[in-house]
Amino acid sequence: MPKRVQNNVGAFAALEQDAQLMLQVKEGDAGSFELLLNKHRRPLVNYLTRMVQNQAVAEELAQEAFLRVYRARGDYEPSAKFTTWLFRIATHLALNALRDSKHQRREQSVDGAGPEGSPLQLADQRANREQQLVAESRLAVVRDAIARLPEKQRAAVLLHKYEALEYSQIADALGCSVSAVKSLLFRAYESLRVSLADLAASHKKRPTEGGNGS
Amino acid sequence: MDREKVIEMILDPGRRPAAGSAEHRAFLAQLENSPEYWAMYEQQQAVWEALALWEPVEPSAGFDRGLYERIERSPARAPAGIWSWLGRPAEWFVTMRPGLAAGLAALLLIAGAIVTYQPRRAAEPFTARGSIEIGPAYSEEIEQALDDIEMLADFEALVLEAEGPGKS
Repeated sequence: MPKRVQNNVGAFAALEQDAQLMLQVKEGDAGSFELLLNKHRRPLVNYLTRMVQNQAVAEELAQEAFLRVYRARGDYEPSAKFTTWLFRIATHLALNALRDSKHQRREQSVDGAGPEGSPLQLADQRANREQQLVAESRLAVVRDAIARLPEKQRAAVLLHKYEALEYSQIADALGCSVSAVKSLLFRAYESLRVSLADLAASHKKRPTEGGNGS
Repeated sequence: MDREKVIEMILDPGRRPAAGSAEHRAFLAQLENSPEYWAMYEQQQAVWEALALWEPVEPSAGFDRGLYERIERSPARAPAGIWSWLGRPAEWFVTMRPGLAAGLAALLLIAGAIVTYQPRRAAEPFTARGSIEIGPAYSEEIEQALDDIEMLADFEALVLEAEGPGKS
């Protein structure tokens, strides 16, 4: 069975379970909320960390996303997939945070408070330490390549690559059409193939009949 | 196999057909025969490998505590009234399409300004309110009216004389 089909089967089962849990949260069952939190905490924090490139900010945004889910429990109807709904809220929060940081950057530039000509560094101390400890210059290249993508392309790539969401789910999370998602992904990967070209030298493996080459 | 499908399969390993299938063989043949597709495939594989370097992080230990504190601090939700129910579509619109919502709001403001705008009229030449120009036809009417009043007064005097002083 192809991987994507397996994911879909798993996703369907997950939908049922998540929807069921959320309906129980609606009925006032705090334990069900905790189960949802345990299941989605890590993927959500990771998605937001890669979006804003700052784990502390990402965790605040993830908390805000879960808080909004909790507050909206009374109106919950299992019409959309829970994961899609959660990532839609998270994407909205991340895009707003990125816009705010851009706005702050402009203000600092106007006020002369920030370092002239250098972009506001979103990466926090912890991430910097991580980079130093791991001494992973390749990781820095990857982070930089992702950070340089326009916000919607970045969100589309992260949801596609790391969260394995379907095009339709990504479209729902970003509030655009499936064809727009395909276009976003095509342009994003085109940019990444250029910016990550230096890392490509080691890869020269040909696809074979025995596998899909992924 | 059309170009769009080949590119989609290059960009998304999850969309590739099962290994050994006719479609998979067709995909491999496309890669073998087209240097462009092959180069794209190689570069895309490198992108996957590079992206895999960014390993997931663990949320901090205080994540849940912070969340529950925020939940406790957040005000209890007021029961939804008719206005909040009516405002929900607008709320969704503003949340999901902030740019479009702002654009529409700006358009409405501009339309309102155009509808209510009344250009200032040029100042009329000053005319003294005390002086009224009277045309010749109008002055004749006034003269006639004054004559009538005079005539009526004379008539009234004659009537009074005819009735005698005892009656006055």
